[in-house]
Amino acid sequence: MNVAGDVFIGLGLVFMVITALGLVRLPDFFSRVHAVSKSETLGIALLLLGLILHEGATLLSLKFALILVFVAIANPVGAHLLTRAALRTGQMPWRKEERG
Amino acid sequence: MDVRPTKIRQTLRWTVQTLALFAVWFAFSGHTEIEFLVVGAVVAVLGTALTHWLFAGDQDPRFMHVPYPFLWFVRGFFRSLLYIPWLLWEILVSNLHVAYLVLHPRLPVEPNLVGFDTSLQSETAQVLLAQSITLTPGTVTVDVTDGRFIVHCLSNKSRQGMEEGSIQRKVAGIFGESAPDRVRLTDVVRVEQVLP
Repeated sequence: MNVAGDVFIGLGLVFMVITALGLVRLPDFFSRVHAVSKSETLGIALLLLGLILHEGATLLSLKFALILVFVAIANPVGAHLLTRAALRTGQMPWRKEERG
Repeated sequence: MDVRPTKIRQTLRWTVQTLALFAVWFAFSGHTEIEFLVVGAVVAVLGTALTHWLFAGDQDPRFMHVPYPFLWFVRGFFRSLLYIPWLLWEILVSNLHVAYLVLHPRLPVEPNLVGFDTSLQSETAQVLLAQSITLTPGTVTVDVTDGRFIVHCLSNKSRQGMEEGSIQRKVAGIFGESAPDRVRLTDVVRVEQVLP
């Protein structure tokens, strides 16, 4: 059980690092939001799953599960609000080349 | 088709929401002493009042009018039970896709902004669709106004995913609505196209 938990926590950390890398490497605001809202959701989910596996069926695990649900709902909402605010203030996404 | 909420319906909503908030409070605190419970109850009522003040107010909340509410609810419940694992799988795939793009030495992203009109009628369905789009392969919902979605795609692959419209069909299935086989996307290249 502990080994499985460690594996999940490790995988979660890997996705967190990828998030940070994406934040640095991607070209513009909109694509950076992708990195944060995707990899971070999975990263946190895996981390919390690992903690749940470590903890077993206790009240603390229930709290972890509730945090998981909250993050899964709040993350896309945050991403949506950020990008909408950017677009409404006149920011346009970076494009590789103009289409047609 | 929308109906104004009746008095009973509103009271029911208040009660259910307060009880749910109180249950969450209890789960997080884990204390059974009376002072904790009293504070929890007060916070639950305040939270309910606040959300109603913020979100319902005097505007007409859009309730769906369905012929057999109970049957509709049960069917929707079981369909969402099928939807959640599918969504989790999609989240995993989308993460691997974004991770691949980020880790690739040449950074093969081709961001583009597209708009489409949804066939979903109820607001709840539209919210679920917007959330699901944001969580799945390389796409973020930027704006939703009167059923028109503005979506930012990170690569051509995610753009094709949007065109196939499988998320929209799944969501439509839960709410008993209809959705087309293919979604017509339009490119958004100038800011005037999206500003209200």
